[in-house]
Amino acid sequence: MNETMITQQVNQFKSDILMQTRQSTLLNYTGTPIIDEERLFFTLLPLLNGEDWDKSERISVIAISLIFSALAAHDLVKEQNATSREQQLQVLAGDYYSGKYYQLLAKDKKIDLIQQLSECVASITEHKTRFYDQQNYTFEQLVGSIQLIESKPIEQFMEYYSFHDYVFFMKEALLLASLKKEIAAYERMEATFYIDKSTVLKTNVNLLQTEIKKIENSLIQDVRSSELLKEHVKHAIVERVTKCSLETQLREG
Amino acid sequence: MKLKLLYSDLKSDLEVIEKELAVAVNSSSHLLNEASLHLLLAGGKRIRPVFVLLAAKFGNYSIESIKNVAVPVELIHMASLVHDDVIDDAETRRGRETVKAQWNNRVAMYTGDFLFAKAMEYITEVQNTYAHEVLSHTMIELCIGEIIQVEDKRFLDQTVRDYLRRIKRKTAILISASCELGAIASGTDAKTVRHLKLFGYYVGMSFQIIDDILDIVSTDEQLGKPAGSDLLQGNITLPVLYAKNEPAVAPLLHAMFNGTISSDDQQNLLKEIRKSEGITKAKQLSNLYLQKALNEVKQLPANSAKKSLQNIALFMSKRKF
Repeated sequence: MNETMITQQVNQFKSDILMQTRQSTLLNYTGTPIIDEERLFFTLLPLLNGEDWDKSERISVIAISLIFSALAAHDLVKEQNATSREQQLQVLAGDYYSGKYYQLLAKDKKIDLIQQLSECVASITEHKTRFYDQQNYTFEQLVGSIQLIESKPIEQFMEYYSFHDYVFFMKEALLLASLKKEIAAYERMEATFYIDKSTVLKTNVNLLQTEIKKIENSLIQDVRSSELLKEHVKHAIVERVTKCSLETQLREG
Repeated sequence: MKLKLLYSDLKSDLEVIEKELAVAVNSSSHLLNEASLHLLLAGGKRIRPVFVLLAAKFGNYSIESIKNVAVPVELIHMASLVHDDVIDDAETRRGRETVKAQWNNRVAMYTGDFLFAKAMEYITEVQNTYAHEVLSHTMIELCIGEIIQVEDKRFLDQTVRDYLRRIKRKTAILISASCELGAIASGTDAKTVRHLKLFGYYVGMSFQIIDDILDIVSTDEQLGKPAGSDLLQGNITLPVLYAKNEPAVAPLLHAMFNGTISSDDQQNLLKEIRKSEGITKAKQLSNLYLQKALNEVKQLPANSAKKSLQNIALFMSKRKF
């Protein structure tokens, strides 16, 4: 499998997800659901690495992507005055995608997976509020929360289907991608999802940058030395992991 | 008579549900805890859990297993109300500040998402896969009902049929599912499940029509929110649809949706709708659904729950606020 085939796989899943969420009013006002291709790539890691993968895994990946689309739709609801039709439908879009994820797994009789994923969603909302309730969370706790928010349902999916060995790569890569996005937006003085809401992160941006470098170096090393990952997958991961920093360097240059 | 007296047999079981709801909304997040408890303490009729319990009485009833259906349907209802308040920019509900008013929209979104997730955690204790298909379908339909409501706002050319389709999804389907799921979870026979499902649907239709009438004819104090708030939001309900062409109503209604109405005329519009044939006709249609619900009850096997279902249906369709 080469990079073109990887892209084809990711795109195929993307179009399957879009098929599941087709709803004319939502399409008109809120557009297609947000699907993070980076996250989708890391969800598909076992498949891309040649693991056995049947209809159930396929359905579960679509369901997990719908969970993230639902949460992303709700993150777009403004804190105050969400009275425009677009905003009102943004609320409903999230609920609709949630219902679809539940329906997909219910039809596939994956009741135990629904339970585990529901626990993940509850936990994600709890961790998201950490950035709102101004409690005394430490820098490490907040970074841990970001990692959970970005990857917990995928971790659950991988554990459920016994793809345990991929969890580490996926979690570290998604944390890294998220932190890089935050820092890049922060440096451009644009709105950030986490930093803006946390004094602890805001006053420790340097620490965050050090953390990014540390995770990136260690992840690349672990990927390169991995006996599990095939060469084309290693290449694809390293390319994705370093892409964001290259962009930053080009911008800075 | 108070609604609670009609199902006094269920008192101890409803206390179990109430305690379980408090456990369900318990969160490691201080903020979510506060927001969820705020909702829980606002109370409510808990009519959906009541329907779950009563429907379950037609099978092998056990509160320990049936609570896994009763709790999630109430949580889904609560979650959808929190999100509705964001959509409607509502400041009060049941006489209390809404979550979005006390905190903000984002906290309300997280609270709703948390409650939905908790509902699904609970319902997965039920191993019958068909029950999950019913509930997931219900959640999607509930959402589509809300989507259509947003789409139909201020659209005066909608028909009674449009309205009925909307309230079926918005309200009736969750009450119908409450009855159906209660019956399924207790292993009730298929014929009885079908009657209970239909009963819930007809009661839900009747209930929503009455709710829409009360929104116009009641006072702010009775409703715990401003009277006529549906209309102020641009939602066209059955009494308005029936009255929209009456000479005293039509010009005010058009002015309202053109944004050219004064606050005095807003009150006049409500007064004119109250006096109109719209209220009478809406009551007639609600009664029609009530009769259909009662016909379904007649076909249920005889037990104590049968009488309670009948009484609750009558109460809900005749209530004053």
